[in-house]
Amino acid sequence: MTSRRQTVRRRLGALAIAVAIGALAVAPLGCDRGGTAGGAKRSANTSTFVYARGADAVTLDPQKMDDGESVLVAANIFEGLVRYAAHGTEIEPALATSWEVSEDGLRWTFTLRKGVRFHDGSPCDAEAVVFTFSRIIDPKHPAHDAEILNTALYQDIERVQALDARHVRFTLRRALAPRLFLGNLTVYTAFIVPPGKLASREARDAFARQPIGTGPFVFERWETGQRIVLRRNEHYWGPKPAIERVVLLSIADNGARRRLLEAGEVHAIDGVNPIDVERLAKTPGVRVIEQPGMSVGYLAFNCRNRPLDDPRVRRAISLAIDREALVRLNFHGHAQPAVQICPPTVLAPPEGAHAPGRDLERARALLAEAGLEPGHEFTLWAMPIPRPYMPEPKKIAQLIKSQLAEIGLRCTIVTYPWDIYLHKTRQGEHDMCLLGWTADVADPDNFLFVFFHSANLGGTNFSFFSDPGIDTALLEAQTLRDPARRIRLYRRLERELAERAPLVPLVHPAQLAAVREQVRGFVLHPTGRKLFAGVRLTGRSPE
Amino acid sequence: MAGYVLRRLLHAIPILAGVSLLVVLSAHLVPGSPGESFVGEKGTPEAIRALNESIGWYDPLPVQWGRLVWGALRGDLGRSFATRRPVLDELRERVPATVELALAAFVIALPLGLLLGAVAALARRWPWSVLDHLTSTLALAGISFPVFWLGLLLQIAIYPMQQRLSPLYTLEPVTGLYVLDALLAGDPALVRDVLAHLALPALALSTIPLAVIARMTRAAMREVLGQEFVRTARAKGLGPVRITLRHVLRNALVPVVTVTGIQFAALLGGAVLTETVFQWPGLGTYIVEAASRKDLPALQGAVLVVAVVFVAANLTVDLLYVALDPRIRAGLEGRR
Repeated sequence: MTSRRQTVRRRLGALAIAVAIGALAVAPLGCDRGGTAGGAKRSANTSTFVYARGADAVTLDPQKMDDGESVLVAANIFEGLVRYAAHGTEIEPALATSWEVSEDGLRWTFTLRKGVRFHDGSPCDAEAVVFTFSRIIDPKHPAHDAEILNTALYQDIERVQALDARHVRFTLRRALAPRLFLGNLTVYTAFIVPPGKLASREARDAFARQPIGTGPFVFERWETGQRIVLRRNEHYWGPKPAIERVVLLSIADNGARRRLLEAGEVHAIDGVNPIDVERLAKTPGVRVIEQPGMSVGYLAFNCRNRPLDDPRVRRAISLAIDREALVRLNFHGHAQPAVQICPPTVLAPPEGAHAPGRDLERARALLAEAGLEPGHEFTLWAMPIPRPYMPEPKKIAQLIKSQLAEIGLRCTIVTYPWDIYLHKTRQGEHDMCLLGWTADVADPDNFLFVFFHSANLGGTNFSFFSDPGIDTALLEAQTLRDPARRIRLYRRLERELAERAPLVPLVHPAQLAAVREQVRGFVLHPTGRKLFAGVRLTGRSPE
Repeated sequence: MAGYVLRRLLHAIPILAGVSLLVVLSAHLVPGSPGESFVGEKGTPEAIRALNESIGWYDPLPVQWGRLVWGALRGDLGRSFATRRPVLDELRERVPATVELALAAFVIALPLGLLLGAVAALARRWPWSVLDHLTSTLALAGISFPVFWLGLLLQIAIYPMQQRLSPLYTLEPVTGLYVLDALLAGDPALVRDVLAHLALPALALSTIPLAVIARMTRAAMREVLGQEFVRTARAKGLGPVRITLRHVLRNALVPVVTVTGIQFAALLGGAVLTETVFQWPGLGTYIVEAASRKDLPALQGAVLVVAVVFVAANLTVDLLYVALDPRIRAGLEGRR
């Protein structure tokens, strides 16, 4: 009897130990939770700006980057010869203070800003400019690598030469519209890099992890997959930033990013989902920033497939789609229904134009005229992942499917993993596919040439649209030096493309970000750039 | 003994060869190509081709496989397609994060699992059997709760923890294990911050191994408790603590070591879900990123490392048996 009681007592003892250890294991949680929040807030001051985005940069070599997250960082470290103005798309001087163009439009001479130095102290002179562009346009240049992707924008540049330390001359193969040529120079690919740092392949790989530019911020550290830290360039030629440091966190999950902002752990987040705007706007201490961008979400027809090779069928489908409903239901109002292919930030639509309304009668009549039996079935492809221009592709596909059912057309929604989706749509396996585009250059060429020129078949021409007349007009528009004539030509092209409807522009989504109340001067630029030089933090800390 | 280890190491060769072959083949089985997923919507056919050529994508498959194996043998896993950095350098950054998380999860799971299992095994009669039912229910819950759900719940209920450190702290990695590095740096606030960031993912990650270990301990101990040598020991007048620890637990440990080893190896292979929910920069998130970018060299390198970890963990487990169970040792020596 005694021994039984003893066993029981011992077992009770074991239980007590179990509970104690369990408590110990969980104990750090309680105190750490308060500790960290307090610690972070203690160190939060008005000199470090913490920004959370969806992914890490891939490379910080401006010539090799092609993803938004890398560009976001590079645009604060590097500069080009020219740039878009802080709030619009007018071109203004950056590393070049002025430029002249020859009578025939083939020779551009830039005067470089005096005394600008790279972050390592080396001079940013004509040699650096020549090096940067030679690296892009000359495949035999010692610093050229296969990963320099964005060469098409600069293929009209025949030669770049230094006239003296402060003057550089570009010689073009054909005259280009000034707005297009200068616009191409604002792109990240044309950011000026220091020649001394890129001599060998090893040096270039190291540079991609430890970039050196001329911009308002100096690269400090990069913890892959986690954060990139920049510090203020104390020798910057322009107005010095108010903040001393920028910490760029990569937080993949939208919800996690939002929670960090709500908790005051970060000052700003981007990639805000339209559906979260209302909630964030109601959160005390948080402000939502909305700004039109330069992107379009579209539905492309495969113009090689019957019956979509008939423009009447394409027009009928376009007439059956309710763009207002898409904006309301999928973007919660944070987008503009597309009036034309180019967003208004790039090409102002004609006076009084508005998004094409639904006209089911006319759509049915067009289908009958084309001899299409009701009940015809199409494949409708939807991206598997949210894209900046379309947060919920599958829902949009369902909406379009139900709208097309009203004119008697049936759709099967098709989707694949992202890379396979692009592969198969580039092969033309789709009847209709959802896709979109965010421009690098604020110019209609960056939409219309990209989407419709025959040279882009198998690349960015997902409509498989090919027309010699349109091809010629697109090339001509690149060279027109009279801005008014050029705009008239692009408007004419927009009208013609609306008539022939190789794709249906659906929406121009707004750029969305959210910041803590104490953040001032954070601007979403139409080009999608996020520039931190003008950011200030007021008050003590978040919350 | 040495012969046994050598034999086991030789067995690892065909396994690793097979894994590397599968990695190469599976990349080609799905349509599309690395270049294509790299350039996204932008990209011209020429750019895609040039990028693919730069990693030898169009070479015959045996050549690609041979290149991978030959490189791995020389300790060169190639360059990541996306970042152009040596894959080995990238893994060297990621592996310590995963190891730290796995260790932390086991610091919670192992003692708690053993204790809960032991308590459940010993609590056979009413009213103590309530404890048995309770731990069984807890263990079932631990296995059934999806880790990503638990991770989200912890973040919402406690505090939104992401990554390994708060944005305003910096830490120079020495060992790569942030807890050690923070201790070396000697800043208490930093240590607290690192522990706070480690605690939630470790807790989320520990639930499954904890439950598995508890259940296995309970089952194994129950079996041993019913055996006659336990009754003999009691009859000899040994105290219950001594019986439990010395005789029951030790004899019950072999299957527990097996599941523990396998669970630990699985965690070392990268806790994909937990790492993703907490944006933990370990092997799991690395594999996810590499797969979604179709970054072939990175994916191959990471999968090979995981395969090596698994083989090594299995070997360690088997060697532990030998150390724990004289019968297995005798068997091995007999075979020799």
